[in-house]
Amino acid sequence: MELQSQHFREKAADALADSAAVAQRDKIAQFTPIIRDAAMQEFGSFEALRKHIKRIRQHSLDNLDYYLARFELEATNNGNQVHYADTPDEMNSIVLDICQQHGAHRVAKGKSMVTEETALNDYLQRGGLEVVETDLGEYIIQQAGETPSHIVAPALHKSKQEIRELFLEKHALGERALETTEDLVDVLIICTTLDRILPRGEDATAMQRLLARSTTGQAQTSYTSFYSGPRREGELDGPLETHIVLLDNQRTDILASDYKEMLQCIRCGTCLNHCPVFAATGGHSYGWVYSGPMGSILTPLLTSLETSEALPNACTSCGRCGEVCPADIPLPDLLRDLRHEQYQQKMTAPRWRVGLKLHAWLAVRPSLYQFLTAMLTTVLHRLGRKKGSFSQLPFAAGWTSVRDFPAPQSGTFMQQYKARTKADE
Amino acid sequence: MSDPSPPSVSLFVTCLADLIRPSVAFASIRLLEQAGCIVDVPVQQTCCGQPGYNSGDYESTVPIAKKTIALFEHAQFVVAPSGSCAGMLTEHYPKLLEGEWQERAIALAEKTYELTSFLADVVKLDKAPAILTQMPTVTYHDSCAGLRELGIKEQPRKLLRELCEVDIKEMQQADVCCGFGGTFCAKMPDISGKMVDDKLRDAVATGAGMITGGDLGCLLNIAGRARREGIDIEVRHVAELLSGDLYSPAIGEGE
Repeated sequence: MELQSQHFREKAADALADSAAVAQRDKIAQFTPIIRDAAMQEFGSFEALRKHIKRIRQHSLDNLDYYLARFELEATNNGNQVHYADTPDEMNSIVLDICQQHGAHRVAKGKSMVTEETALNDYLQRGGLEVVETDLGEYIIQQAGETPSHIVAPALHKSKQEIRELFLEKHALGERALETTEDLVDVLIICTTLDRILPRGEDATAMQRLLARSTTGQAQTSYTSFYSGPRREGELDGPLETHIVLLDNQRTDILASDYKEMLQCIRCGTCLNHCPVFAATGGHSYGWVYSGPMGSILTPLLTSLETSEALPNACTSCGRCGEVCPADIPLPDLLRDLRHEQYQQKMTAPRWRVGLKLHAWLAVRPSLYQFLTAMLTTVLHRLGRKKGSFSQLPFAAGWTSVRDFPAPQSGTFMQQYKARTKADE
Repeated sequence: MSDPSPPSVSLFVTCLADLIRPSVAFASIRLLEQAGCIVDVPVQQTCCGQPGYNSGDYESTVPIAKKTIALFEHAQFVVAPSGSCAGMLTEHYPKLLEGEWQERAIALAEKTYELTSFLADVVKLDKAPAILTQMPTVTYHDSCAGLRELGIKEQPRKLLRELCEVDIKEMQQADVCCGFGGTFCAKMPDISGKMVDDKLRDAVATGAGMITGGDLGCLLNIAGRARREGIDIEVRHVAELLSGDLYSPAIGEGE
């Protein structure tokens, strides 16, 4: 998927100008936290299980070399073929090669954000294959020629009416839209990243318990597939050949970095559902595969911090994402750490750097700070006391572009307090 | 049984109360004194350092944090009329600093409170400094840092109901961010504007005549947008209500 994150501000402005889409996002943003809370309340042990999941994820990541080797051994013993890919292109070419070896014409594809990351569909289509998405949400956006707006609900941005019109346009009435499921194929290719290995089957089901509840409020997803390997003798169904492609694409680097905790992510989309900035702008504004809080961390880590400069700043530090994250990732801290890195690398706008430095310099010089702030507030009080607020202020254009600036009361607290203390003596 | 000595509180004024709305800090002093505390205000204080810290300038925040710790660590209790500034002291100074300074930050964090949680949970204030006959119907905005970092939700509501007999009309999504976010509101004004519009829409829908809350940053944002849009709803800090100060003009209103 082409990286567009450098256009976050423009895309967000466009998204906010579309009033029908805004209304739909508002509804979803109100609804999803309610169903999540209800599911968690019924479940009853969110905190305990998320601590458990965090431990499992950290343990597997800390011992990834061991678990990867063991995974490869056991997967191979089960008849799977395991492939490693460093880059998105490597993964795409491995998949295309497998398809071509089997003379495939058509790929029935399950929902996968990793393949969005590598733009697999485009690659396979350029290689002469027809790709059909089998997940309904993915199928909708494939028909519309769009990209996912949400990692779990890719067509979340589309209204029922839009989907109806799209299907009427693309399909004759009565035609079956979805012809294939991933269970009916002869050759199964699983694409994932190498950080997702878990030690035990029950670790996957533990995650499953929180994943669906966190996102859609369901106890389980409609269907969950477990694959062990190709069809064995005497089995009635299942693929004849299975491949597992493990992509790195920066994961090893993230594992060695201060952002390691981001690899705990289980891709549930709960942080998106609870982020007020995501609710305001929608997923497409983020300009790549991942959006919302997890996307604002992953996109800079997987692409470039400079290109996606806006994303870590598209955050009010409200903390709601960290509160609901089922993998207990300190998302607000990681976002702030990315802003720190931007600050260190001088990506923060110069006028902000100067302003913040000056503020910090004054904040440790109380006498000067109090002298200057007293002067400033005296002027502002005199100018603003009648009206009570300013509709324009020099040096505060960002503030006053959408809201008035309330005028200060008469004299700073420190001025008034010192005067009172003096009078008492 | 010996008479316990009265709790001694050092007030962390917060820069926004200091510069824009001193009445919040004076209201805080009245409330703390009503609760039997001896209040002092270290006059060398300035700002907790959040603007730089949240914008990623950790290095410049370190000296501010150290200065604040040195100024307040001798206090029995430190109280701030703001969840985000109290949270900066309790949650973020210990993360920001290392070694001996980190230990001093943790020691300060253990005795630092947001105003309403201190009044409700620690000194258990049971009487308001002034009884007002004409208390308006209010709706309460939960500021993010207070709510999520410090668990402040019931305390201000309990104080308003029990001490002042205030009728609180809860708004939809009271716990969703108002779009202030410190420098965020100036860096991404369009998105912030949409968020504060949602907040005002939900607040107005309750029919309450006033929005109150525990953090001036949010309240300045909400009041500023209400003024811009001509929405007729008063905005005041919860400390002002609790102390009976409804006389000074509400936030953003003229004299």
